[in-house]
Amino acid sequence: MEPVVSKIAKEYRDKFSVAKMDIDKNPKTHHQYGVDAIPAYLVFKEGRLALHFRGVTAEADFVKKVLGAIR
Amino acid sequence: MKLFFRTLILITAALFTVYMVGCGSDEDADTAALFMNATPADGEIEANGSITVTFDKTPANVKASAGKKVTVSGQIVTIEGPFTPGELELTLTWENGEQTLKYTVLDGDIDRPKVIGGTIRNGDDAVESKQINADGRIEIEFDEDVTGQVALQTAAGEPLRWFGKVEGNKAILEFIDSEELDTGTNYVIKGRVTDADGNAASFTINFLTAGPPRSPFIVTDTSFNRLVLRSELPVVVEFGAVW
Repeated sequence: MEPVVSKIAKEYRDKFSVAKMDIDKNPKTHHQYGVDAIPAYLVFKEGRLALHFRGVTAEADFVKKVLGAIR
Repeated sequence: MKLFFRTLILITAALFTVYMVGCGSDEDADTAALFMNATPADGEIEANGSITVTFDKTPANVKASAGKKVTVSGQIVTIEGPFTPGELELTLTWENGEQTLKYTVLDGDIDRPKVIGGTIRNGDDAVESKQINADGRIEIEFDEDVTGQVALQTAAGEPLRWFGKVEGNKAILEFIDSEELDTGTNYVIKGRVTDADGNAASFTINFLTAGPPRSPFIVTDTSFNRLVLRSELPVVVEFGAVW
């Protein structure tokens, strides 16, 4: 999923940013948001959690979910 | 009768020899290791120096007074500094043995080099990458002259093509080409320096550049609020392991 996410990040950079967090090195945030399996994707809009989904998703589904959450 | 006595003497002599050889072996096994010499034997030593003691065989349960660390390697025992300047009476004990060594410890530098300033300080979270890129140089200043290495890397540990060198009391990173610092990105400067007296120190300087990050970017517990929650654009955070 990693190359796909990087590609999406570049294609949709005017609509949303993509960040990556290593849960082994950063335990506080993933505990705070209840991330219990990886990969997990949390979408934040204006400082609030808008969507939480997990697992490998096809590129089109990924974009659809994110755009739907930030509309 | 003569033959009887001759035979008796020979048998007695043989038994005596066997007995002596047997006793000798047991005695060797039980004998404690013997102190042979120490280097230096006495006199003056550097505060940051070490003392090497040689035994005739490997000593057991070696300890040094004043809680000094002892390293045993076969017949060689090493006691590492730093030692407190002044008179030193060091007692070395081992299984069935003891030896006291006396020295005068010279008043030398036993402090590790410390970072006292520079272009960036550890924990800076709004470093102007544009200015750093224009200068093409990052300096870390120490409290004394040092030698060593320094490198610039991403938060994920990937090295950046910045040339690192240590000169005088500074560790310097110089921009080579193609890898300018990005905005809103975590970087790490890592290095190890040694002063003229052999005191070594490792240092790590974490910093975050100002401005919105270039997507995709690495986010940490520390930068999460600034880069994600306060971002003007929505942010998708991918949680995973080892990027």
